[in-house]
Order: sequence, then structure tokens, then C-alpha cells
Amino acid sequence: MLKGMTRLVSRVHKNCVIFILEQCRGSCTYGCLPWKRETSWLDPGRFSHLGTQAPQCPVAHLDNQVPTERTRAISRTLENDPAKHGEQHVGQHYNISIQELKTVFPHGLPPRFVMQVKTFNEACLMVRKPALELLHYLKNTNFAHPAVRYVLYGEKGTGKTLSLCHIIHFCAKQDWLILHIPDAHLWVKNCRDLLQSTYNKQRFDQPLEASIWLKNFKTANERFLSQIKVQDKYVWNKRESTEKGSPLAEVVEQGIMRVRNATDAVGIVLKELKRQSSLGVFRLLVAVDGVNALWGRTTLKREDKSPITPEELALIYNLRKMVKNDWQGGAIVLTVSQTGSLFKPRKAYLPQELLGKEGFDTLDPFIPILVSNYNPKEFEGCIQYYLENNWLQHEKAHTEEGKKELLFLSNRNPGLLERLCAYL
Amino acid sequence: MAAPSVSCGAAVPYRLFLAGRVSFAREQGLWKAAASGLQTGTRCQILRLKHSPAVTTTKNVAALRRESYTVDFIKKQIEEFNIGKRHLANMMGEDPETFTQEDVDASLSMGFSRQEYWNGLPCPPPGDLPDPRDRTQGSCIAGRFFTSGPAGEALTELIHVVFWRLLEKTAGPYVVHLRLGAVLPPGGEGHLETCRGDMCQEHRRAITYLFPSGLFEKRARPIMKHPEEIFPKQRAVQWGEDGRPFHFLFYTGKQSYYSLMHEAYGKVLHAEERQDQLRAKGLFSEKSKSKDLIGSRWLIKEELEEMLVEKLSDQDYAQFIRLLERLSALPCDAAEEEFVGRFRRTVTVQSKKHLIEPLQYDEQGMAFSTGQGKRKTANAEAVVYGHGSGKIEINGVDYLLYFPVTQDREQLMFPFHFLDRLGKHDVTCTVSGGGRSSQAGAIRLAMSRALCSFITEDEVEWMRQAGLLTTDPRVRERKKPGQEGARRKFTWKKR
Repeated sequence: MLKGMTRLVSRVHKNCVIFILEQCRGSCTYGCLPWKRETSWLDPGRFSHLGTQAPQCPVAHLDNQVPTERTRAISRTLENDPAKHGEQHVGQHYNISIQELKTVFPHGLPPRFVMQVKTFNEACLMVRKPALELLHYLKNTNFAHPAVRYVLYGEKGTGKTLSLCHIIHFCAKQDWLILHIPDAHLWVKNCRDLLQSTYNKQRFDQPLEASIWLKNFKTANERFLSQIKVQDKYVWNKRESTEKGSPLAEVVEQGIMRVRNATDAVGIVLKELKRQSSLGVFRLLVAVDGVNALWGRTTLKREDKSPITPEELALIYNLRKMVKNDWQGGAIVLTVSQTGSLFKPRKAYLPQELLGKEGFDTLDPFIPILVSNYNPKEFEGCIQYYLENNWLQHEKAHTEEGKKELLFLSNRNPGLLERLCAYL
Repeated sequence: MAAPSVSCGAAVPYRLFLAGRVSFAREQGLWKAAASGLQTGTRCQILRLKHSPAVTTTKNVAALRRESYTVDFIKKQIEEFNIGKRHLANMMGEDPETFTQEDVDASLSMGFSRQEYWNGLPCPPPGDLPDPRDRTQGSCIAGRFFTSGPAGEALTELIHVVFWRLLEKTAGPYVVHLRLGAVLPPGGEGHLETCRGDMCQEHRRAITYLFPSGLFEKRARPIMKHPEEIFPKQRAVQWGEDGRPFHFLFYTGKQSYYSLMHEAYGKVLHAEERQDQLRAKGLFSEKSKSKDLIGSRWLIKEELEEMLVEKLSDQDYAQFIRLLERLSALPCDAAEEEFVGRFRRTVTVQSKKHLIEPLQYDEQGMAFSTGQGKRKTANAEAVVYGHGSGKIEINGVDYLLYFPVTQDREQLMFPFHFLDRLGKHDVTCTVSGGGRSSQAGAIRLAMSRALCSFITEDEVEWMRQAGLLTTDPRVRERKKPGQEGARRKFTWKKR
């Protein structure tokens, strides 16, 4: 079926096991897991199979041939277009090709997921109910009305970021313009270089973060940048300026070239996009992960050690304007997360707790969508997916007892399950 | 049993005094003098040494030899013990004849209040005693009690008995100075009966109630036990007045052991002879003897030594057991079986029998059971419901949030995984105190105990063997002065 699939055919040969991997085109030959042990797989004296250490696993795999087809039916779906995902696909993984991944998600995926993609050589996202709900809303948006705000919330590790990525993938397929801020928390902490803003003396610039974001933005939305024209003249400094009517790509280029002006470039981009999406030329999706960073506290300090509030950062200030629902022609999908947040208790996960009074009032009204732990079907699907990719090497992982143990230990939390399975 | 004669109180060396205390039954008059001498004894010891050099330079053979008691002495102790028991029964308001069977709580509820009792006496209650650890004042503990009135007499007798036991057990510098005469109850010796082994729970509770002690060492606290249990068993004199030994095997050195071997071998020969006769008659039949051997074990070497009051070597012991096994392998009659039975002790298969609570049912008809658990300073109480989906709630929070560490969740998983009941029960628990790991351990114990109501007896036994039902006795060891921690010493510096 799927192009990137590998199949294992094992043959016991005296005291060593030789695995023959049948591959379709596209992926590398015997995908050794980068951080598991690498061995050459023709050593007669050693068991080797995708870098496994357990000598019992060859026996386990002999049994795994027959149910492979059935497990694939549980854990995978052939439907790769998010627009066509429905209730029947809940719990199943769909594939995103690597090229699409590079264009759509230059910077959006959680780091552990990126590692998993690199390991399995394929990017598979699970279809889940909250994402389906959101997709339904998005399909039925009325673009004449102001942009609706959706807030994904839930406990740690339940899959808010990946649901957001699912939505982004859908919108990208639908040819929307994606404005994706991967983690707003990164903008409010650990910034080495804070410059006084050229535009407004009270605010601060963050050239590094801004330039990185501009690069990724460019990768994600290449085709739009030449179409959209700026509607104002912007003077960068004595020698450089952008004329009215020039494509947005120039602004982005300017921001990337001149890192000092990157923050201002970001501000301009946001402003222009907001203005022009209301005209209906394109549809805009504003996706912010960790939006509670915009209204919390920062760990940044001025030279005189006094703390900086978020509104004094130019990036945050402009982003706040973006998140307001005073424009039409798109949607705003947000996530609140405690993971990167500053000065918030570990157990807080509700929007009220994480956004604080100010943020909640600003974002009000919004549609909250709860992302919870896996239900039994999704859990089963996830385990099957790991088994298919031979990620679970423990001999008990195939058995019912092993699954029950994993269920108990992770309590069906996706993030925890992933971390647990990494050890098996 | 010859203690050196105690010279006049002013010149008593401390060591000799200790050796001599055993025999003060005879030196009553000197005792009181010696008592006053002790308090000055330690201070004046150095002075005394100058005055009596002859006494100190000789080796103190008596002190080095193990203390031994005469038969009369032991008998006297037994009498006094019984008297004390009767006094205790009287005090508690019980019938002395059947005291051991009464419940102390029941007797207390009949109006016996400790405070009232002590108020009625002309002596202070034990709570006012000086700190028992304060050894210099040990001499005055008993001195504060004086005889007046029958109740007072009974009490002082009791105290005497109790402190005497205390003294014997600790062999410390607690010295009972007042040697009171034995007061027999009206009726005389008719009431005295040896009640070996009847000293049981009620006695002990009564004693701990009347004589509360602040000592940490349990063996130093006042006890009242039958003298047989306190004094080590000793052999009577083995030879007569003419010096001729009574037993024919005396000169082997281990007379009891060899006579036992002789007897056992005699029985073996006898049994073999009988077996030959049966075979000759053709009535021989194989009889399985495994019945009486199951559920019991041979005596261990220490127990045998205690029984024979003799030291044995390992080879002796092994030889004896081999002989007994040979005897038990042959067809025996009742006398021989009884002989073998003397050397076997029962072994309970289930050494721990704890109560299994029956299931309770709540309003919806759901079966549930509660259990409590402790670990270090954490206390937990768990309610396990019969049917559920494997949800665990701790203090109102999901266990995933309460225990972010996998190790703690594995601890919670252990009982269910062991019984293969993952995902079948719901649990609600409360826990307080301790740290992360001890709370997890406490909840695990509480859950296991609660689960006992849902499973079979065999499974309870398996759980017990797996260690799920045992409270972990480890607690934090205290830090000692002069050391950095409980065990760690300060860095040793050569100079």
C-alpha cells in the first residue's frame, strides 16, 4: 500500500538470523535507528535487526507476519487528505510525504515527533476527535464574518500541538496562507540579544527569533509572497526602503538580510496580511502554539535588571494584534500549554488558569476544544503503529498483558506512551 | 556458688558487689549497709583500693564464672512470683485463681481507674518516678515506696517482684535496696501453684499499665514472668557428697546427650527386631510415615542444647538427627512415636494469618473494600471498587498527575499486575505525609490489603510471599552525635 512501507521477511539460518528487507522506492535501505545500536546486518554471529539488542525478538517476528495486514487496518488509513477525514478514521494514522513535510512544517512539529519521523522514515499523524471537530468548523466557516478563535487546551502530553499540526496540514492542502508561530514561549524567554526597537523606543526587538521565523515563514508560503503586494511604503534606514506595491517577498527578504530590521519586518508582514485577508484574496490561518505566553510574564530583563512585560516586546505586541478577531477571511487556532510556560503551576491546564485574567478577557469569546487522552481505540491504534514499525522490541509488548501494563503506566496519555515505548 | 564474703560496707569494691548481689538472699543485714555504701562506693572506690590491696590484686574468679543459682533460690523466686500474681489479680479486682483468663479491659471498665487507685495510696504513682535512665538515682526508686496498709503491702510486693525481674534482665546498676519479706496471702502455700507459661497478654498489659516506663530498650522495661522463663536453666549438682557422680555417663562430659543417644539407639534396635519378627511371620507391610513428618521440623541445635542443658557440637547434633530419622523410618509403635515427637516442632504453613475483611457494598450495589497502608511517614487509605476501568484517583487528582514519575506508577501497578487484574478495579485513595516514593509505597500496601477481600486464599498467600502485604519496617535512622549522619563518620584526618 503505502509507498514508504517496509516489510520484514525473516528466515532462521543456523544460529543467526538474516533479515531481508523488502523495500519500495523512496526510503533508505535498512533504516538503522540513529540512536539505537547500529550493526551490519550480515554478521553471522550477531543478531541484527534494525538495531535491536534483544535476542528473543526474531522469534516474535516470525509470528508477526500474518497479523500485519490486520493491524494495518486498525492503525493506518489510506486517506491522506485531511479534508476527507471523518469519524471512521479516528484512531488511524495517515501519512504525510516528506516533501510536504518540508514545505508545510518547516518549524511546527514538536521535537520528539521530528525524531520519530526521522526514525521511521515516514510522518504519520493520528486522526483524532478534537482535530476532526475543528476541521468540521473550519470547513463551515463563513469568511465574511470576523475570524473565529479556537483554543485547544488539555493536560500535558495529550496531543494539542499535533492536533494543531493536523489543522495546519489541512489548511495548507486547502491553499490557505499559514501563519504559524511554533511556540510563543520561545519568544518570551532566553533571548540573548534584545535591541531597542527602531520603530518605537519603548519596545524591544528580538532579531534572532524574528529572522528565524521569517525564514520558516518564507519556506512555508513561497507561492503567496510574490502575489501579495504591500500597500504602504516602508523605510528601513537611510538607504533602503520598500515601495508601495512591491511584493511581500521583498519585505521578508529585507528582514532576513538585515537582521536588525527583522522584528519590524515581522510586524509589517503581520499587518499586511491582516489587512489584506479581509479583502478576500487569500484565506489566512493564524496558528499560535502556547498563546498563553502573550499574556504571562517574561524572564527577560533590561540592563538595569528590571523585568520586561510582554507588551514591551515588539513581536508579542504585533502578535497580540493578530490574535484579535477584528479581521475577516480566515481563522485563528490557538493552543494553551503549560509545558513551556513561565511561572505557571504544573497541574494548570485550563485556559482560564493559563491565560490569566488579561489574556482570557482579550481572547474572549473563543471556542474551547478539549484534547484528552487516547480512548481505547486510539490507544490500540497507536500501539499497533509502533508494533508495525518494530519500535516495541520487548517480547511482552505484543501480548495483551503487555498492552495492559502500558495502558496503566501511561494512563493512555499520548506523550507518556511515546516516552515509555522509547525504552522498550 | 560461693560469693566472697562481703566485708563491711565501707570497703566494698564495685565489681565484687555486683557478683555478690546474687547471693544477697543470705546477707540481708549487710545489704542495707551495702546500699548506702554504693552511693559513696563509686566515689570512694579509689580510696578504698588503698585500704585493701590484698582484695583487689587477686583475680576475681567469682565474677568471671557465670552466675549460678541454687535450687532453693529458684523455688523462692517461684513462690514470690505466684504471690505477686495474686496481688496483681487482687489489685485488678479479679479472681486470683482464674486471673489469666480475664480481660484487663473488662476489669478496667468496672471502675478501676489508675489515677483513683494511685490517689488512694500513700505513695506516688509511677509517672512521678525519676527518669529511669538516670542511673545515679536508681537506688531511691524502690525506697520511695513504703509499706502501709494491705494495698500498699500488696503493691510493694508486686513492685519488688517486678523490679527484681527488671534487675535480672538488664544486669545493670538498678539496685533494689529494700528487701521486703515475703507476705503470704491468708491461707498459706495452698494457693501457690506453679503456673508455667500462663503468664500471658493480660498480665503483660497490666504490668505495662501500672509501671509505665520511658526506656527505649524493650528488654529493660519492667516485666513479670515466671522464673523459669527468666533464669537460665541450670543443672543440679551432678555428684553426691562422696564426690561420686550420679549418672553413669558423667565422665563422657556430655552425659545427657550420650544417654539420649543410647536410648534412641536402643529404640532403633528394638524396632528393627520387631520388624524382623514381623517379616519372619510374613505380616510385614510397608507403612508410610510421611504423615507425621509433614508440618513439623526437627529441633534445631540451639533448641536441643537448651533441652539438654549442655553444649553440643555440630557433628553431635547431626549424628543425633540422623539417628532419629533412622528411627522414624522404621515402623514404630506409639511409645517410640511419642519419643520422636518430643524432638519435632510444628511449622505452620501459613505463618501469617491476618483478617480478611468481607466485602462491603455501597448504595449502588457496587462492591468495595478499604485498606490502609504505611511506609516511612506516609499514611494512605485506599478504597478499591469491584468493577471499574483501572482508574486511580489520589487525593482527588488522577494518578498520572499525582505521580509524574514512572517508578511510582509502577509501584501502584504491582498489586494489580501480580493478580492479573489490571483495568478491572477502580481505586480512590487519600495519602498524606512522607515523600513521593513513600507515598507510592503506602498506597501500594493499602491497595493490596483492600484487594485481599476480592481474591482467593491462595492468592492472598502468594501476595504475602511476594511481599505485597508486609509493611516495610525501614525508617530513617537517627543521626548520632559525633558522626555526620546515621552511619557516615566525619572525615578522618590524620592530624
